[in-house]
Amino acid sequence: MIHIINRFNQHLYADILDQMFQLRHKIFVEKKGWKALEQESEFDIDQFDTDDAVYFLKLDKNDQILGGMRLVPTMRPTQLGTIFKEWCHFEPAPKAADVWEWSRYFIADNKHRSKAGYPVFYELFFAILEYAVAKKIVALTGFLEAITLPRLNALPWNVEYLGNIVTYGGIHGEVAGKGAAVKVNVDKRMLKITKRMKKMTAPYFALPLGYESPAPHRAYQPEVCFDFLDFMEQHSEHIDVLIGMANVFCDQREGSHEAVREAASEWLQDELFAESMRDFTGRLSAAHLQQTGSLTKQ
Amino acid sequence: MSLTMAEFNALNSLMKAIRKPTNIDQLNRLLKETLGVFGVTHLLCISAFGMPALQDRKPMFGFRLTDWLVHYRKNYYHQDDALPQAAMKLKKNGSQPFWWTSLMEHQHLSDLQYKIFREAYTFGLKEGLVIPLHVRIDFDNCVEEYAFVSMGGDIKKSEELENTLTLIATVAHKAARTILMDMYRKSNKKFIDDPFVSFAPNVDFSPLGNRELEVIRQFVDNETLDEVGRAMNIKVTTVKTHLKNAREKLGFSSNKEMIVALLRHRELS
Repeated sequence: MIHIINRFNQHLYADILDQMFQLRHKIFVEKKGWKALEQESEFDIDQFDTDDAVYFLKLDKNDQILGGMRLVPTMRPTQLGTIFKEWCHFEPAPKAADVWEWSRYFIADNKHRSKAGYPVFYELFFAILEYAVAKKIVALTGFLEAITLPRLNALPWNVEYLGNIVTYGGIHGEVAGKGAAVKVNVDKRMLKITKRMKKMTAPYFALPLGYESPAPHRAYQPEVCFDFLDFMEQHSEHIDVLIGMANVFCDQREGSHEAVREAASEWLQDELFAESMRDFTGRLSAAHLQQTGSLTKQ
Repeated sequence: MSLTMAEFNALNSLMKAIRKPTNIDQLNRLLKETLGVFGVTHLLCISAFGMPALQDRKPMFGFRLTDWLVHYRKNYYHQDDALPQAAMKLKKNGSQPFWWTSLMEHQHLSDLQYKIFREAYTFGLKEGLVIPLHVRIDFDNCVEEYAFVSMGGDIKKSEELENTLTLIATVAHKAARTILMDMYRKSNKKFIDDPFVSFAPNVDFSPLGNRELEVIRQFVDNETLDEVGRAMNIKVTTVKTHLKNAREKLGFSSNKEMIVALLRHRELS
């Protein structure tokens, strides 16, 4: 399962994000030799790691990162729009609300296979495609290693090259590499055919409902629950988070139900939350209401 | 970029036009026109599909220098030419393109192989590039799809030209693949997505001993090593040893691949 970490839930993944930045430094600087990214802190954090970035991470049962990738909206500064601008020889990288740029793709464990026998990169790519379709993103841009380009030929993807293949690095002891700026158009059909080709059926998000909520096995941890309740008190506008979390609580622990009920009853007394809670009760399914009992009646 | 204006314009036009051709001839004409600007006069793309040791090879697209082709065929150079042999060795993932002159410098070639390069030079094929394209690995069926493009002409070795020709080879392969898949789908014939058995070339099983052959035959009818052992009244470790020896003798990477080859062999004979 893939965890999606963004501005709404990153406080729940603080330790995981630290682990990711360290791992990225280890992979990109120490293993691949990208000296330009070297930092004394040994954390690979660049100008694109802002609150707007969305991270896709594959975690194992012990919350160890097996692989990951970053998406950045192209309405904000991107690699292809700034530092790699001159590599878009044919046309400039598009800037639009429905076009996002992916970067910092890494696999920490090449040998890992899911229960269905798939390597980590399969799940990562499918999660990103599912995310793109769900969020109505029409194209993904990025700088791809040359070695992966022929692989795209076997997929039913509409790939446009924004620039010629370029050689980078190779000076000041850096390892030389090759790659090209590309734009991949995304739609439901492309996702469906790709999944059929790879015999993949499951969705790969780790999210129960609403992409802002954390993945279940992290949400069960008490400290995460309390963090979450604090967050909701300050950000009542994120109703999707509330719904997602409520589902996680209600589906799992009996003890957690009580915590949600108490929090919900307190919020209901507050006029500020009244509107949100009406929305909340309206969006929970009838079956779920039955299952969770008096949660929304209080 | 240090490409000339004419070269950049040709490349830019190709990138826009590459999706338009609806058949391989049109694609070849488009490539010939574009690559002519770079000095390339001869191009061939070969696709190999199937399990590693059983891959069937087919030409996909290209344009040839006619005089050279006639000379090449007349002298049966295809039997000794070092280029396709070296290109098929690039199947290992991560392999990089190589220039013809680099191959001559770094690899020990026979006199005849040097002669082929020398004669190609006199026909105007002064330098060339071989580009490996690792297209697909199907983990379930151990099937690989691999292609390589070899092109030559009056060109000079440079990093930028290598990058440009690699990009052209990649997009041309995509276009050719789309055209061929579409063509075969419409004609209801079978192409790349066919069951891999029908693509496997016939393998000579004669180097195997009787017991080794018997174990493989038993494996076709029995599912597990235990069952094969019981059927032949030998230990499982002996079954494993026979299979390992057979794989090594025939150059297969898995039992599955070897059994598919045997089925194919039976079918043909």
